[in-house]
Amino acid sequence: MLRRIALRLALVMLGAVATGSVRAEPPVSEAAVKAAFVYNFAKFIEWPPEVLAQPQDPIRVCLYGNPDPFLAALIGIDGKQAQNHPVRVQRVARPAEFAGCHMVVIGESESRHLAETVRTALDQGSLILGEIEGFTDAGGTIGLGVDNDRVAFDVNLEAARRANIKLSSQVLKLARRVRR
Amino acid sequence: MSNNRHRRSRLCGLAIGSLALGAHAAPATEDLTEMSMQQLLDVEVVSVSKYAQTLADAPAAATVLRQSDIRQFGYRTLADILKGLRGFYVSGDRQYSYLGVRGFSPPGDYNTRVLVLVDGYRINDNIYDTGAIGGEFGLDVDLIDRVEVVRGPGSSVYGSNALFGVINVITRRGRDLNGGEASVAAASNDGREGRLSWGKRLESGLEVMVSASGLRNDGPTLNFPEFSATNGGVTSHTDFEHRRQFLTKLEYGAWSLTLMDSRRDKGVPTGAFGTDFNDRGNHIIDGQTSANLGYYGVLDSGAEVTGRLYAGNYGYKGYYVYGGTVNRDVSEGAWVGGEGRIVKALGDHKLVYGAEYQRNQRQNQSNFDANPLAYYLDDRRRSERYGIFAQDDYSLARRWVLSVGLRYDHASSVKSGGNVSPRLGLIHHLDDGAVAKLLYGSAYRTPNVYERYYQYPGQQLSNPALASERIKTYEAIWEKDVGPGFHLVGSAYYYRIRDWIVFQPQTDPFGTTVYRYENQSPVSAKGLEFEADRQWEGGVRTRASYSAQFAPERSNGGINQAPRHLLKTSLSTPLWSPAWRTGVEYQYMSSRTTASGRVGGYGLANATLLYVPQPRNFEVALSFYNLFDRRYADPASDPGLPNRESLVQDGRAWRLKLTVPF
Repeated sequence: MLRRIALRLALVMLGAVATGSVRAEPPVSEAAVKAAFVYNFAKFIEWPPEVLAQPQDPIRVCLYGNPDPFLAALIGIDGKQAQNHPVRVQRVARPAEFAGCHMVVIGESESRHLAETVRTALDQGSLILGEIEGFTDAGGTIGLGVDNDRVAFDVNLEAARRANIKLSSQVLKLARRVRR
Repeated sequence: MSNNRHRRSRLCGLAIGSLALGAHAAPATEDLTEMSMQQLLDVEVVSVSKYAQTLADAPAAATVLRQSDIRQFGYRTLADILKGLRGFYVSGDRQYSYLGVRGFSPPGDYNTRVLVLVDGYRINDNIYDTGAIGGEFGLDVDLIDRVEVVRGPGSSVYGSNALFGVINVITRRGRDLNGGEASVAAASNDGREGRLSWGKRLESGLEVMVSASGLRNDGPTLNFPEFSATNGGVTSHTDFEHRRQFLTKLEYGAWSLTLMDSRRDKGVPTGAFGTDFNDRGNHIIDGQTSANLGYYGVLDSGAEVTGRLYAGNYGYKGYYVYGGTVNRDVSEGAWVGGEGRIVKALGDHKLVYGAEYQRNQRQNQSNFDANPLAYYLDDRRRSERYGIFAQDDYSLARRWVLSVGLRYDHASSVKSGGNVSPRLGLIHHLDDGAVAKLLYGSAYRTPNVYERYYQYPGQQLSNPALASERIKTYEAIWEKDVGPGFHLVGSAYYYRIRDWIVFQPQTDPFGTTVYRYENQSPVSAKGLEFEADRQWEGGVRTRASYSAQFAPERSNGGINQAPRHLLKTSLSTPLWSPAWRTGVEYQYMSSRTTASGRVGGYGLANATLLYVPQPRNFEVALSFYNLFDRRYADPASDPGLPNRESLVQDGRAWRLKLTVPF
């Protein structure tokens, strides 16, 4: 038993230092699933007609915050099609650049001043997404989380209304919690 | 912990290239995006490491202040910033600023029980252990991006000095400045300030920041009735302050290099230590210089590695005039060291482990009269210390986190040598979005060379036998975001200190009163804190906190100068147009004990009017400190003036400041 613990401890140490990971790669990374959800939301969200008037107008997904696995995974949905519009993923350095963002994804690093950031994004009529705990309670539109090893999401209808965005019934039906 | 976390998140932002980190997730994304939401909901996932631990999960009661707060409230020093925080208070003796936290304020404490870090580098020197916060703090507050304050013991990660809390100052980066910035200010008492900074992230990927600041202030005219025999007890131009500060930061890829240099010359107008009153020759000079080479990288395994090599020195020169003869009080500290830290997520565990080594090459103190030459003290020391630590944040279940930390330190300077500092925290996310934390911690402080070896005839005795002091703390915290931008915090704590190192008066064989640092029998304190922080519509923000602290004011002849009640309120709001803002603060502190009496409680108001046109071609701020000119005093204890128990503090002061980006 002791030897096993010692071995495990040694592996932990090694795992951190060695280039390869000790633990087998997870079947699916949480960040990748969350990113797929974001792409799905882009498919099922209704923006005001004047916002995406031309077919070539891209759905702009803006990433705000220090690089983290979730934001990194979102780069993978750049260039895909949703509602006959191309999806464009870009990083923004500060909330002042939220203008024109259809979706603003807020990274884990911004948890402390979330409320200010959320307000700025709402004023720009953006859908606000994040994986920070209590995201929808802090005013975010859709908060992603993990429940029993599965990704789940919460919805804040008030935030959607304020940004003049409609969420499809499918989104609402599948949400873990809907805050009205 | 907090420092490490933010250093990580800060450095993570360094290169967009680090986004490639998530690259292993990208191929999976291709297939996943073809799936419907219904299908996605059934995909089993394994959580990966999050770079930033949210403050809600930090095993402590933490507060963050930002650059916007510094500008809106016209803060001049780190002390100004800390004064507004829940449970913190600052007193001064016109030489240094002293921070009080959570019910413990013994006389003769040179901020030894709070660890001050700049970008993770330890500012506390190796002579007095001082975590400087006043004008003697080596960084212009204009260069601060944010200040993170973590309350409670931090020795399980940081080692010595982190008894009551860790204050981590994070500086602005080249990209934050993105060009030049010049600042000039005029202030009361013929005060002048200036700063010139430049920063940029260059195309080559090199990020540069350089800054130089200077300040001169003649100080107010003061009246000391106890010196009525000399110039009627009135003194002017003796409370002067001259300051200069330099900062250079270079960042490239995983590497960073920081150089800091500062010097402050402060007049001592108070006749401290029995010196000649109303003589400009009484002054103190404090300086600190440091070089830091930092590394941050993420390995393919997902482990994050931080490393640092540093060298620093601290110098103090005191000039004290006794009957026309200048007595020189000098200390010199020099150190080199390194530390490394690894953060690694493994299933439900987040592991942090690291090691630190510091070699104190010089810890010298001397005291002499220059002319005629007479030596009273010439003490030369060197020492070394090392520490190793590990911490595990274990997600027991979805809403529960258990945090276990342990650090072992060894200091060659103390006989017993080793110290073990454990920490235990249980964090629970409640159904209503609130977070509850139960914390136990232990921290220690080794006596410094000043407390052990400094002596001056007729005033202070050395005590080489001093032992380390230890604290054990228990705390319960409740935090909740009640709605968007509305945050509530409540906390209750119980602290117990063993072998508390206190500056104690005693009678020497000649019948005179002399002071000596001594280990005191255990003392405990308990307290409650509440805070509400709300951001309203239209850019209005209000903050209010109340702290009650209960600690014995006298025990075994020692005194504790902590107030019982603290109230802090602030309001920051746009005025008639968004370009105009005002920041107003009101801070109340109840009465405090002195050697044989009390100083009264007081409330102070500060107000700043800020004009920032859009686009921001310039910025003007007009600030008033102690707006209503309230007369108040802080407790004082002076081995050279046994009858002095309090010192009157500054009346109303102002500052007009112009900042121009270019």
